[in-house]
Amino acid sequence: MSFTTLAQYAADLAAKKCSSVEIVQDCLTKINSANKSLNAFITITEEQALNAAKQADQQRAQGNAGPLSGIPIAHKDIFCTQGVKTTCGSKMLDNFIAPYDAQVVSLCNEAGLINVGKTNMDEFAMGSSNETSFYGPCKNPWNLECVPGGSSGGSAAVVAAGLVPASTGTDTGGSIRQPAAFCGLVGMKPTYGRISRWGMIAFASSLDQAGPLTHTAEDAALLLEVMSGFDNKDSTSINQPVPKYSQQLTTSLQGLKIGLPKEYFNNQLDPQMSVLLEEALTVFKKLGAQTKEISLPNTGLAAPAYYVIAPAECSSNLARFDGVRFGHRCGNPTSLDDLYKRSRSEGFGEEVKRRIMVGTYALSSGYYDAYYLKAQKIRQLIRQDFLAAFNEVDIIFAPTAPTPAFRFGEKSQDPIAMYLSDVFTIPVNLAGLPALSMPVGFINHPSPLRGEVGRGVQLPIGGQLIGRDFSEAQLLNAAHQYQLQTDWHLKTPEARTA
Amino acid sequence: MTWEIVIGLEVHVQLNTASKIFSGANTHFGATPNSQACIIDLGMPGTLPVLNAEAVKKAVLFGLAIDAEIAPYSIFARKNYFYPDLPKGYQISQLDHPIVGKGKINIQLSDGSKKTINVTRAHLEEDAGKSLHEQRSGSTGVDLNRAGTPLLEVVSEPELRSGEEAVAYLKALHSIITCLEISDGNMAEGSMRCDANVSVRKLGSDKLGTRTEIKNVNSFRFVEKAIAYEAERQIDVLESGGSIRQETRLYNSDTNTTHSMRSKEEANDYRYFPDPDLLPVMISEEWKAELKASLPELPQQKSQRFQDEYGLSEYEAQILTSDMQLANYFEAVNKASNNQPKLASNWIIGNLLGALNKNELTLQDCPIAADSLGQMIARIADNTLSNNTAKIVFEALWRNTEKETGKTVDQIISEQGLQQITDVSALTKIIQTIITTNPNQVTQYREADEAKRSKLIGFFVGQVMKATQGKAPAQTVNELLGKYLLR
Amino acid sequence: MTLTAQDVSKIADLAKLHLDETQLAKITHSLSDLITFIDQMTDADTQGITPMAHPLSASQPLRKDEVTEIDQHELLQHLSVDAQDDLYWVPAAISSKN
Ligand SMILES: [Mg+2]
Ligand SMILES: [Zn+2]
Repeated sequence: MSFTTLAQYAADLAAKKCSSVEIVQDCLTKINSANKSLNAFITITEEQALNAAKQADQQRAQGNAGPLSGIPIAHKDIFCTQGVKTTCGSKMLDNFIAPYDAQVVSLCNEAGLINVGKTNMDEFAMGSSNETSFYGPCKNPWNLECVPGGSSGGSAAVVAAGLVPASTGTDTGGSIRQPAAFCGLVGMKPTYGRISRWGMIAFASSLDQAGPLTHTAEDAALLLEVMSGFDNKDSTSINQPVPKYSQQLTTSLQGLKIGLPKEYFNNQLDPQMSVLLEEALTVFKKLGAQTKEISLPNTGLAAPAYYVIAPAECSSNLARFDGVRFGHRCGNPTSLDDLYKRSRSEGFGEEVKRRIMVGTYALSSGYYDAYYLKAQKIRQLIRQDFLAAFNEVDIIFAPTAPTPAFRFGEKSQDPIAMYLSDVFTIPVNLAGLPALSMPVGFINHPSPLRGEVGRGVQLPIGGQLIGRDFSEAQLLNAAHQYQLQTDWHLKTPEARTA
Repeated sequence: MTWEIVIGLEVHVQLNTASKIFSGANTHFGATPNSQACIIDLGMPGTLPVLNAEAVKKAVLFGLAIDAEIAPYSIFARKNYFYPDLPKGYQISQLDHPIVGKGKINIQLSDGSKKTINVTRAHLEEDAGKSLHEQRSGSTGVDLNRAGTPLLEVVSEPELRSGEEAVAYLKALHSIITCLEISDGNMAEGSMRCDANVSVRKLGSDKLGTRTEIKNVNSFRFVEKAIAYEAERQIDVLESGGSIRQETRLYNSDTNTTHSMRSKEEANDYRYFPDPDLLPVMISEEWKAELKASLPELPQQKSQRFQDEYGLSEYEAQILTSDMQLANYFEAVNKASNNQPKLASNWIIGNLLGALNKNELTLQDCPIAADSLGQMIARIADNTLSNNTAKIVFEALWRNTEKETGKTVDQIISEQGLQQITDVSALTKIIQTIITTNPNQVTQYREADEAKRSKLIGFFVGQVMKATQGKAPAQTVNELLGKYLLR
Repeated sequence: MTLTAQDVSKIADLAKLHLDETQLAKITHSLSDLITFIDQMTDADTQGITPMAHPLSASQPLRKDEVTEIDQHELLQHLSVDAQDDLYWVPAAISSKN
């Protein structure tokens, strides 16, 4: 298995080495054969994609195509796509044909990127393994018995498997970075407000942020340029110019101060992972960077605060799914209450219901101060921790997830164990900062996988770079410089399992 | 036992913006159901609210007009509950940091007494849609056109003490919002909706009694009736040894009663929290100053000016400034009459308002243009018309439905021959004839004392009017009669 | 912290979720665990800390008061299982509120 990057496709198209129709056709062929085992797509938009490819070729022939025009990508099924089913991984929206495009989708369309399909995801983005999807779990291309991570698991799997060069995802508590780490990709969550949330089905509005999943930092820069920008349809979108990220990748890392939060590099970290993260730091040092231990003392409070704020917001955001104007409606409701209760109970899966319940409880009369308000105060503490650290260092390096991809069923019966797989990504969302995960090596799965004993099955590990508000260019630059020195990002699943 | 009624009002005022508070959908009243409910109003997945500048501006104008604190920093919150006309499952409203803080509204009662009512706060929120219960039995139809229309909820302190005070407060509020032109104030179309918190306590007590909230009382008249009914109900309960339940009650205007809707225990737990889709609204000192400078003359200021400039009584000035359209109408009439404010006020309050009322018309549909009424008054002032002949002109003008093609006051006067006889010698001749043909009455008159004479003179006036078909100016007739009868 | 099945029923009612006996038992257990988990916040010293609703301290942008939306109700009502005669239909709603 091999893959082509966005940058490579762009170069090939510019050099007229191939047409968009050929590229899209090739991708669709791969998708149709691989999706049976991966279950990475909920919807494949074959016909629309081919039509768009023809159009892109025409535009290129007429000389008015942008650099990324005609290249296929896939959108997480959380983004509304006009005229195309948009499910958010839920039975609730199994019948929902979005009547409009998300801003991210519009921007990608304007850039000429071709949507080949909608990727699988944890239901309403609530999960870290893709196991909560109504459409069944997506598999990890590195090992089909392992989860691809979540919630943007489908978006990670389709890129890791080389089906498309890039995809879009969303990250509320690590939903881009953790699957990127589990699948050996670059995944970026930009600063809150960098990318419009218009048309992105809300999980937790004050935390949700879209971002790209790609093989390389360069591709992440290219796609982020397209996705970013102020949008007057989203009040929380920030009106700041979008830098040309892809042209700011060559800055030297000489003198870059990298902070290593001691709370992340604790003794519970897998020793094999510690070794890889150490090696990555060695690369950065070789590039001229310095490292320094820092402290983010409130890190331990992040997950509890997150599991108040995110459910509270979701309990309200998901109230609109009531069986009336769109979405699942129960059969023969006997009363208004029956309509609401059965439509919602049938339409939502177990994890979504659990979070709605927690959030409802946390906001309910008498508990607001103890839970929601307290969590917002902790959120402030977490952000202040980061801001203090950025007085000492330029960027922060940390593991993306505490473990590599785990097996299906390993954590699905234990919600808290599942929640803890996001402990290293959650603080960043609470603080609103930009962060990316990039592959830093492979380790043997801690416990042998069925049928794989002795074959040395290895799984990718992600390292996380966290920066100041709107420092996306700096993070992408650092990751790109790292990737110039390493080849972890070039490995493909077959190469590893061969 | 004497009881005191304690009332606080929550008034929802629909702001007259072109588009909705959080979307670009039209707010026009009366469109095809759901044709003005866009994807944001419908709460479609992924949609987001963006605040309408005009709604903020109108809220701030109101705040400035009632001398309230304008929050430099205000927050939108979600009020969560399920109802079919509430598409998102929450209403975007304000709780902790309303845009308008403490202010005051002055009211005046029919006995002339005045009172200042403190306003606790006024906050912005979105309206809900409409549930239609009548069309199909067992089902409710939902029209979401109204969903997202901007509302300003104005909350008063519990300082009103009677239904009359409550109505006076509502009228004052109505005149402020219509003067500011931030709402059409049309109660029939629901542009102004009132919830009343009512409790009673023994006179002299400083502790508030348990209150009930009466929902959606939608006319001035019903407010007074609903409060009267509810207060009496509460007094009856308390006097027979019972206690009041804190609950929400609905007023039924057909039966003039209120009935329980839900108790405090069944009350919704609204789970308010700051709306994460919206950021704090900041109002700069500069903007505030700019808006303050743009405030129009407010009803109270106008009333004072009408008294000072036109010499009207406070009572007249209050009536004429209770509605800005009426105030403007008055000023137009006065201008067209060549500055006859007293006559203008008399004719508007005494004749025009009554005629509108009788015909169930609003000033907007008034068949008499201010210019015409003014011209008519000018003709009274120059003695062309008497009060009686003016009434004939007034009626003719009223029937002149097509104002443009209708007849002018002077045309009506000349066509109907309504011009008064101002020629004194002609009148003198008529009077002398009457005196010679009624010798008995003349003798009676001459022998009577002063008090009796003023009654007997009526006979002669009547004869003169009969002879002149009412076209003799009353004052001249009286003078001439006085002169010749005693000669 | 332990929740009773009764507490959980009340929350489910607020959230408009229907839970049968088995589900109720199961979710009561897992909610109790979760609340114990989030209760780790309790001991954190947050005195004097300003609650943070948003990561960035920006202010609300204001939209010009313009009608920008067109009537699409026929298209949009296709998304509803029960829309007829321009209206959305639900079983009779008794009380009115707000
Ligand atoms: Mg209220
Ligand atoms: Zn209200």
